[in-house]
Amino acid sequence: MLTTKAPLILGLGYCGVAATLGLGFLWAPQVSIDAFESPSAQRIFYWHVPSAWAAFLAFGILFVGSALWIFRRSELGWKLHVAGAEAGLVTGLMTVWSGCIWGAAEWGVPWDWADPRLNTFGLLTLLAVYLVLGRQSQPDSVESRDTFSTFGLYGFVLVPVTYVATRLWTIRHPGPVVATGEGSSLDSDMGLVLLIGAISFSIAIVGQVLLSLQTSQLEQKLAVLQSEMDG
Amino acid sequence: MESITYLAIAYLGMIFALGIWTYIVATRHSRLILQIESIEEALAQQNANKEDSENE
Repeated sequence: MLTTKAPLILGLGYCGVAATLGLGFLWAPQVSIDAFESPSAQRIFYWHVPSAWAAFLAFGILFVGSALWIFRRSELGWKLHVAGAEAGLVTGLMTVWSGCIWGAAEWGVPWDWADPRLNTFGLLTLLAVYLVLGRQSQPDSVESRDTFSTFGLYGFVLVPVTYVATRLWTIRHPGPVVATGEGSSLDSDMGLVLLIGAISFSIAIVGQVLLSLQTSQLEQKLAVLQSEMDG
Repeated sequence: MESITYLAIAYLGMIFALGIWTYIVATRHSRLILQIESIEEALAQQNANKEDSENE
């Protein structure tokens, strides 16, 4: 089964993530010192952009899982919800953290409350915080699953809003430099490192989700064994 | 602050987040395996004792 290969897939993803860091530091060209306030800090993007991409992927898994639970009462759907929320929390926090540090270096302020992308992405990450912490503090019941899945389902609307935010309103956050549809302004070497990063983070997220599904199976097996022991 | 310091702080934070998450997932996974193994052992012992008492 695919879940038994989860640690291998996760390891492969992490190797790629480490390689992205190495390439970003040692191989990718330095940006022009005239174009940036803080040129070295620009290398933050080699993990910032792929982790944001991975967060969107994780929120997609959360959405699918929530929908499967709400409409089909699927146990697999609930497991995907849990795995997606956890993955979304980590990648979301990584994106927000690195974005704040870059903002402090480049703009002089870590956050701008007037920028739509920053705020919609911040809300997405807060949603993941709520879903992960809320689930841990509540007993597992159909009602609590319904509540969290509803938030997962409707919260997903923030993903397309965040995606188009810089296309519609560029305030602080830079506009898109890849997948713009009119030729990229990004250096090809930088683009390649970002692509390797996006693929690696995606593989790592898939590995983590599979590992989380495997853990859920073990939890179920443990519950069965415990009831066997008690009975 | 130096540009390179911002870079270091950003990556250290992200590595910490990734590391702590992996640690939590991995320890939860291995703890469950240990719990399952110990319950399976206890159940096997229980069954063996039951068989012994039935034979006596």
